[in-house]
Amino acid sequence: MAQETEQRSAGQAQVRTRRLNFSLVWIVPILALLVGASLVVRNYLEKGPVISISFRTGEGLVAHKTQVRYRSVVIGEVSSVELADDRKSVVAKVELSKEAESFATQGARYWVVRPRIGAGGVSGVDTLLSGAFIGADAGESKNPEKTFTGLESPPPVTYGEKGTRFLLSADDLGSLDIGSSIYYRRIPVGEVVSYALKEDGEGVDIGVFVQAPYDAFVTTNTRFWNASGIDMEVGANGLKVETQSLSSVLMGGLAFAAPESFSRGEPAADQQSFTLFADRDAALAPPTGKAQYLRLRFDQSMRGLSPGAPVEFKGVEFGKVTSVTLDYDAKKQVFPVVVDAVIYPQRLGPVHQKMLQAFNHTPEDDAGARRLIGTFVEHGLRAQARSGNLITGQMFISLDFYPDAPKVEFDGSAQPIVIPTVPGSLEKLQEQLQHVVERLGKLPLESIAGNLDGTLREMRNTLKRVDGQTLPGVTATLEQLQKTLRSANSAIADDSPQREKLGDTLQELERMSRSLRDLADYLGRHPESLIRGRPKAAGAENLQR
Amino acid sequence: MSESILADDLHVCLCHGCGQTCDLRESAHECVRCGAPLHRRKTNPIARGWAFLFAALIFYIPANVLPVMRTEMLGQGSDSTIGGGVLEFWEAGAWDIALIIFIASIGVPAIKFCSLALLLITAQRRSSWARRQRSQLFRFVELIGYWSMLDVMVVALVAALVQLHGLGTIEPRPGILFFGMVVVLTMFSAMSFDPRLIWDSPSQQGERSDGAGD
Amino acid sequence: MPPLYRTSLALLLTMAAGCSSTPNNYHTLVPAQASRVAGERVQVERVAVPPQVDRPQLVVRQGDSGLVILETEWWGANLVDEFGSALQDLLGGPVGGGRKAILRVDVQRFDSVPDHYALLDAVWRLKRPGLDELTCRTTVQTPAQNTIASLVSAQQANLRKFADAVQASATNGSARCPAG
Repeated sequence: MAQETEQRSAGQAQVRTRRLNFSLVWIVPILALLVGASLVVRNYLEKGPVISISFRTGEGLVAHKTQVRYRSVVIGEVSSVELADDRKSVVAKVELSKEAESFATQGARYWVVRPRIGAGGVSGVDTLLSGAFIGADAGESKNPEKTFTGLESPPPVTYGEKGTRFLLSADDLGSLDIGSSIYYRRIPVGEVVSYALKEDGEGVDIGVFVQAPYDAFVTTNTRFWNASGIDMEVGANGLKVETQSLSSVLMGGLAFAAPESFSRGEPAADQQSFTLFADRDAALAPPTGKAQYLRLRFDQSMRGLSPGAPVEFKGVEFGKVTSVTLDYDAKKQVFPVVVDAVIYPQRLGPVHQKMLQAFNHTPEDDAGARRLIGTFVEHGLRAQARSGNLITGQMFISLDFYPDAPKVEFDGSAQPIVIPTVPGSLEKLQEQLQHVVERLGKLPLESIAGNLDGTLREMRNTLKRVDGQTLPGVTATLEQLQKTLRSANSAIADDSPQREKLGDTLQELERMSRSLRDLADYLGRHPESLIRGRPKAAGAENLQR
Repeated sequence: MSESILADDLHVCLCHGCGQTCDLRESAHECVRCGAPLHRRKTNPIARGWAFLFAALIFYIPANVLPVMRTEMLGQGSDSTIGGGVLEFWEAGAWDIALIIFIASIGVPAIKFCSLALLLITAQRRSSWARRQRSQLFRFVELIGYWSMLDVMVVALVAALVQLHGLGTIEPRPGILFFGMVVVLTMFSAMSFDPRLIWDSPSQQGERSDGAGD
Repeated sequence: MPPLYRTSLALLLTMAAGCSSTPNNYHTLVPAQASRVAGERVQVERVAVPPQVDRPQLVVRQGDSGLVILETEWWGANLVDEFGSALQDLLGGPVGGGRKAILRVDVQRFDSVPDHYALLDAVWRLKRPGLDELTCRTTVQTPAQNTIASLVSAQQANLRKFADAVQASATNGSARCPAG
């Protein structure tokens, strides 16, 4: 606007107005504008990529609340959760932060972390409190990608874990599942990542993953076995329980080790195949060598002998029973029990070698082996069924030398080899019982009876003595007791000081309960007195008739 | 009733330091008694009023868009804005609390914006419409001005008290800062407006000797 | 949150509103002057009062069926203890072991009617050493004014008359009840 004219008069100051009619106060809104604009710009710059992930269900996903986390760091947030067009899945739109641009690439995986009880254990329990979140794993490629399909369960191997994969082939899956742990010396070192039926249906291929650095312990000589559950064996040797860990009991597990008799060997290559054995003993058993088949005939009941029962020679187990069947002997009109067994002479250890050398046989010489056994039978080699465990009644076959056994014809050409038998230990028990009964018969019962009579007479005399002497003593004691009771009585009598004290205590208790009652009564009439104090107008000012 | 005599006609001005009526022809800039500078009207009331009002309007946007408070309970946290808070309470059935928050945080600032804008526009155009009512409006605006600070106080108190780590934590967020600025700026705007402008008739122009603004 | 500050404000106001309370006035049945009455030693063993007055606050009758519990007028102790200690004091103070008479009192009425009278009606059993147990009933009444102090002193007078009757029976050893 126009400039003001100056008014000059003596002594008055000159007033000069500004040229520019622009008040400095307009800086305030300009600053405000700048601040607002900077907020907007900053917000825009900080926006990361927006991706959409499709899941089967939207459970646990809440718009603007559910976060995406990688190694427990928040890298994004769900902005909306909607049904897909074909209503078969749920699409969640996720806004990732600027730093997480590498997660919007091909190969990135997303899954929802919810409380989960699975083969690998209980996981994600903290999401019960904090709400579910989406876990992420970056892919290796650099190509950007905006649409993903979410996994329904967390992938077993995440975050670029180092390790090696192997393939195991087994007859059946057992109690294994994805996530079942693999143990080495009882330490969990890996897990089962996949399983599939073989193409011909004759077995199962199991894919496992062993973490580094433990994968170095898996060598070409390593044996894997199924260590699920509890291995419980009730056999002639008694009860044997073996388990790897509680989680393997609940959720199955595998274990591996190298048998001691072997050298370590080279570390196994990636995707190498192994056989999965049923249990530890089968996996680590030393080689069995050539098998020999035996047949034994028993004339008594073989109850307690089951297929799989051990066959021992002088206490060393070297074979097992394969079948227990009945046969009919028409001549004697009896039903003997035929037991088939398989033995592995090599399991006897070094003695096998020695014997071979002594008799100049090679292991493949079948005829020679028969001749050898025939010689033994002549010297008294017999098979006997013995009770291995009195509690379970399990029996086993024991081969031993019985010099005074009756001679038996040995048929060297029978296939399988027949070894004569001697009766089992139950018969021995019967004999012993018989001995006992005879001994009982020889006891001198009459003299025992006469002695008993004399003893009874003595007892009667003793009783008479007791009556005369010990009883008066007892009576005296009883009188003492009465005196004591009387004095106790007087202590509780009317005038005793104890009685007075009791009376005082009771009075105190009475007073206390009376005070409590008064307090409750007062609060019942004036509950507001707790907060506001005693009511004012309840005095005596308005007494009237 | 006869028209009252205006101070301009008598060339006098009231000193706001000691209350003395000073003759402008004698001493145009200083009070003869106490020496305080004489102001016929507040400096630049319209320009300042508009400036502060615009700044408050600009800050009102982030105050409503940004969250004012972050509540974390048992590990779950959520930001809440003013409008969001009102809707939450309304949907939860607490319509009385929703109403109170709406009035205090959205209604009152809106009323202030509109009232101040009206006062500034009418003062700028020197209109003589509804003068008495406009004065009442100005007094009303000054009265309700600082009650909006209640919200800022509540957030500050609550954030200071509820610090039970893990169980429940409340943190203030930038939104409340902008909201406080809005309240302060509207208060400045009301303070810099001179209510005597309402009563200035168009004929009182030009004779002022200090730079009373546009 | 806004609801939090609202509730805390309400709580503060309520607490501020009610933090005062009227002081109590206390009264006792034990007379100011100790009266050592010579005679047999009597021990007050047990006192029972009607449940309507068995409270620390004074109770007065109003009309035929009305009762007023005076919230700011209290007995020094529970009425039972007040009665017992006053009676024991009037009967010569507490007595120890040895030869003494035992007194058991069942108060039937303990009426305080302002501007009219104070009434005491009790059944008592006295077991004197060497004699049979004596069971009697005594009723005493003293006029009173329309003030608390007058009612209390009227009850004190009642107690004195009661104690005199008991003491007389304990001393003269008669098997008949005193009149009243």
